[in-house]
Amino acid sequence: MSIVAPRVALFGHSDRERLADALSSRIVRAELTRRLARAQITTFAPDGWRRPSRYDAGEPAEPWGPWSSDDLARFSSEFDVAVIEAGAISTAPVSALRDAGVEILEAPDALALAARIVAAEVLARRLAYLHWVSWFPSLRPVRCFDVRLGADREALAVAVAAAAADRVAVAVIEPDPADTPLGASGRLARALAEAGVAFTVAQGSTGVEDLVAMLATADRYVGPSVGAAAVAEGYGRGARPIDGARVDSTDRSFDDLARQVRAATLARSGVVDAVAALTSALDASEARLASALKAKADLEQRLYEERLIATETRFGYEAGVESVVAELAVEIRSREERIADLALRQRRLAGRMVARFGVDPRDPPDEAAAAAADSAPVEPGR
Amino acid sequence: MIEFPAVEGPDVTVVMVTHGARAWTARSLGRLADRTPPRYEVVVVDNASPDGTADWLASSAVGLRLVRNTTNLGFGPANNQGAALARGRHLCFLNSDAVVRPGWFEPLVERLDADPTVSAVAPVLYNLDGSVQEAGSVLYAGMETQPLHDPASRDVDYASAACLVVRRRGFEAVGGFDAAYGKAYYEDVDLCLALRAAGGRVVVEPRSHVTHAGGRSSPPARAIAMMQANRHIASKRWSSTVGLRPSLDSGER
Repeated sequence: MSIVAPRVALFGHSDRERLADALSSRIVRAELTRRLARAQITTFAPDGWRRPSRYDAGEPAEPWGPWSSDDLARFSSEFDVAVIEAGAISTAPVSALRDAGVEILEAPDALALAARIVAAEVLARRLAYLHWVSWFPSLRPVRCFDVRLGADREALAVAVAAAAADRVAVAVIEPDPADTPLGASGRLARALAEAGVAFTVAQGSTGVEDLVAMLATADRYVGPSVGAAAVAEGYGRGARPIDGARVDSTDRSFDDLARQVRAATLARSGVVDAVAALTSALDASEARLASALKAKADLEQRLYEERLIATETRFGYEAGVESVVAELAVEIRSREERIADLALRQRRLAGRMVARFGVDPRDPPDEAAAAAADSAPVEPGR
Repeated sequence: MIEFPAVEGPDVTVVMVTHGARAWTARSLGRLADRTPPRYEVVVVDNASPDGTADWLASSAVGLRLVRNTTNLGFGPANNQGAALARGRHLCFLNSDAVVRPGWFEPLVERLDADPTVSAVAPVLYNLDGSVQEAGSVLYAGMETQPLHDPASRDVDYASAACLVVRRRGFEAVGGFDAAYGKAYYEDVDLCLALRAAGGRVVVEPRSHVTHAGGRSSPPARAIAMMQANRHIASKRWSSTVGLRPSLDSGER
């Protein structure tokens, strides 16, 4: 029996092309996995794989609903708990799930941890790519403008004037393509050009990692995207860089959520079974630990012995080379005496054979006999 | 007119980069449409083709998304552009001079779906004369490459991105093709090594077959220069992975 693995249904909006939704699902999943390594997390979204998004990291969600009573019963048997992302509280089928007996837990607003989801080396790689394709200015500093600024005349004027005054280059990004009004990009480009601000445009073909790389590098983000603002703040950019207290608070909230998921899982699986499973797992773990410790001790002993032998060999040679030479001299004398003895015995034997047969065995063999021996068939394998 | 199906939830996004070679592009896309079940979408990134390939695509192909670059951004970066638009679980990088054979699609997708340890899977590539061009490749010291010619199911160091199907999650997790390789060559080696370094496997699926004309878009001298420069980059970057391997010319293999 193994420890019960939580079966978590995660409800969010990962099927939408909005950076905040994409980030939220990725962060909640990552933070739960970090705390509950064995958890089996299945992501749900309104349309799921029926409408996958380029922001979903290639892992489209399961669609949620419409569900029949049979579907809900099956859902209840397949999952221990449903975790609802902060942005999906009002849209997820909470009532139906609750009626089906599913325990509902709410995830904290995860965006405070947005700076954790892309590894530093990946950010560097994406930034190099963005420079290569000229979608991110090489000038420093750079400011990220949301393409939707082009739809708000007043905000656009303020942002462009500030960029000109601060002498920054601008990278125009599109974090929420689903919300971009037609023509916004053109208006924004014209305003920047008229103000003499250097800029690049990267709308339409940037993934989550690209956006995070740009936002992490820019001096600030200007625009309405909650997700883009969260990333910039997470990397300490702009007027409102995120403070450590908020990160710590969010971390604690995820600790709480993980505890609740664990508790809900244990409650569903039965406490006795769970305790038995834990005990069994602990026993197995202790046995593995004992075995590992013994193997380690054996290895250390062997290492010690090998070192000892090596040390003794080295120092023994240096210190005792004279005794070794003496021993060898004794052995050489012994072998010389043995050779002399054998020679004497051979001479005596030859004398006896000459006396008896008239043949000396030390004479060369008959040439014909020797030739016959050379041409004799050789056994295989010889 | 080449028509691609409208698929709401594609399993695979086929990404093709074009730079000239309109006849090959037409042949490749036509066979793709004819020989692939409707579980895919197509993104074509045109790298400023001088022969009007982009205009031809816009007028002669229906159901694909076309990205037009005003300059040639190179093979890897343009593939990154296409991948950023992908909705499929898997990405298929397909050269414009690669022609899929019947039944090429399912074995590749099955392999990725059946085994989560596999990050990338490649078909067997054939020359125009029908001989095997590559069934994956192995690397030697100095990042010398050696294609394998027996079509077997096996793990390989890398497989050519002439036709390579990659799990999208894995592709994004390693940051995609590295722009350090510029216009072309060794970006697929680097990608496969990055996927392997991240714990994934690169395998060859011998049930899938693709013909690859190969090397038609770059003049040989320039191609050799780019190849050597990029081999140096890859060799330095992955020295801990392949540095201790035998030399291709030493007879140690």
